[in-house]
Amino acid sequence: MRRCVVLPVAILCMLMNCSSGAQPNATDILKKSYEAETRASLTGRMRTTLYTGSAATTGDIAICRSGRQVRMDYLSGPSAGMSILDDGRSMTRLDSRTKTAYVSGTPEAPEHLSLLLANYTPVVTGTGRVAGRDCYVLAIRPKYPGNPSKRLWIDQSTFVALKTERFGSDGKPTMSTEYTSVDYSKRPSASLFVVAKGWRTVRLAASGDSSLDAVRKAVGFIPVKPGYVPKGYRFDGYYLRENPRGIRFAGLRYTNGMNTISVYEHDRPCLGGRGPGRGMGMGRGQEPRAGRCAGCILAETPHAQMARVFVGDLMVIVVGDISTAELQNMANSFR
Amino acid sequence: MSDSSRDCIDIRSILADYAVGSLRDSDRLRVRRHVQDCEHCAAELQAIEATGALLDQAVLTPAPDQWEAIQAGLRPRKSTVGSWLARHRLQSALAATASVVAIAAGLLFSNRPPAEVEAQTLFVDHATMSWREPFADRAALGLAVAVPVEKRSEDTP
Repeated sequence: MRRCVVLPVAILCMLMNCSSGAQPNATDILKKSYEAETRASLTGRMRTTLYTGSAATTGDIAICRSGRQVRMDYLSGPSAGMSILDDGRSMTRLDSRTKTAYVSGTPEAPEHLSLLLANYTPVVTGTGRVAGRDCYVLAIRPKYPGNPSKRLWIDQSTFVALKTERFGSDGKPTMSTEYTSVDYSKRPSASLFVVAKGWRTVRLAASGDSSLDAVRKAVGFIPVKPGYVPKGYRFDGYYLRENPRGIRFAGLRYTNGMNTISVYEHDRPCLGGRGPGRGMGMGRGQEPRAGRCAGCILAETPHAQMARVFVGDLMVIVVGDISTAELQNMANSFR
Repeated sequence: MSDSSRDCIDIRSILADYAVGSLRDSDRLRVRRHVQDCEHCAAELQAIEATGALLDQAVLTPAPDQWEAIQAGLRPRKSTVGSWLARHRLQSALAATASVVAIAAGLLFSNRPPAEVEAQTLFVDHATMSWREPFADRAALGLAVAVPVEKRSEDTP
């Protein structure tokens, strides 16, 4: 008799749960969306916005994706005429004015999603529509204050993130991108993801998988690690970086899974040197004058700010989107 | 070695930098004070500045018959003492011209690009370093490449 009652009640409860649209698990959605980033094929248009104080810069983009391969053509805004190719290992910037392709390696650590989940809490805050598609809206909130946060609109069918909003360490919006149209039915041609014939290719020595030994040999000194790293950030690796003028840096990368702090180290005696390829203009070959601040914020963009310190012959520049105090603490910990 | 001669050696090692205005404030002041009292170093500085002025002139106003002189130098000549001397004079002139061009080119190419450009390249690289973060907004990072850097402190690069 008892079994006769319990079973129908259990079935009824299950049905009610389904019909009432139980809140989906935010972590599961996030994981599915992360996987979708590597296997989705689509074409579409996007509008991206960068916020600088009260002003905003926007650009329209045509996008094609085929698994890990992505092509973005900037149609309007300050980057109009530029294209970006991403093959999952390196990023190539195409400059249509000079018909030059700049190729640089992009660091990647596959366990970053687990690091993200260790430092951020994803929460489903509702649903919405983007480019005519039903989406889950997720807020990704930092567990440690002074870090950026995000909101994602994730397609309920394909789990592709169709809209992202990023908020800086101060809580203000820094960038957002949203699809204005998306078509999953077309598979883009493979020729779209390679550099066209007749273009000059410049391979920057910026690699995505350098070892300490390789970096040390390339830059001629042993890179130094900071004495202080903000909570939740993990050392990711040493990377050889090179700017378009051939100046090489030791790059150190720290990440909390959703935010990167880059450290650039350069042997300062070269800065004062005269001659082609010497000096990167950041130090002008001079000692910091008395009264000048060490570790102070030098410059900023919508997504990061920059601090610099001198340690003996070494110039260290720390770039990241964390609170000013934390960035300065990290920069000063080199001294 | 006396203190003054040691000072002179020290000062002379940075006189050329002083002449082109690339010394930091404290060193510039030290040179200025020293040459006020030391006629030898003042003369040395004058010589450096005069050489610099000559180089400027040489770069700005090349001799109008320079190419003809080069062509003349390339023609085969009889091997006489006079022609040998003339040829070597020409060689010296060519060497001097080449040096002037090399120095001018060196100075030209050693001019560093504006600091904003350099800061921009690091921000661009930082965008590349952030590129593979989960859910990185790559479209916006691409746009950030073209947005100018905003200076914050007086100690800007």
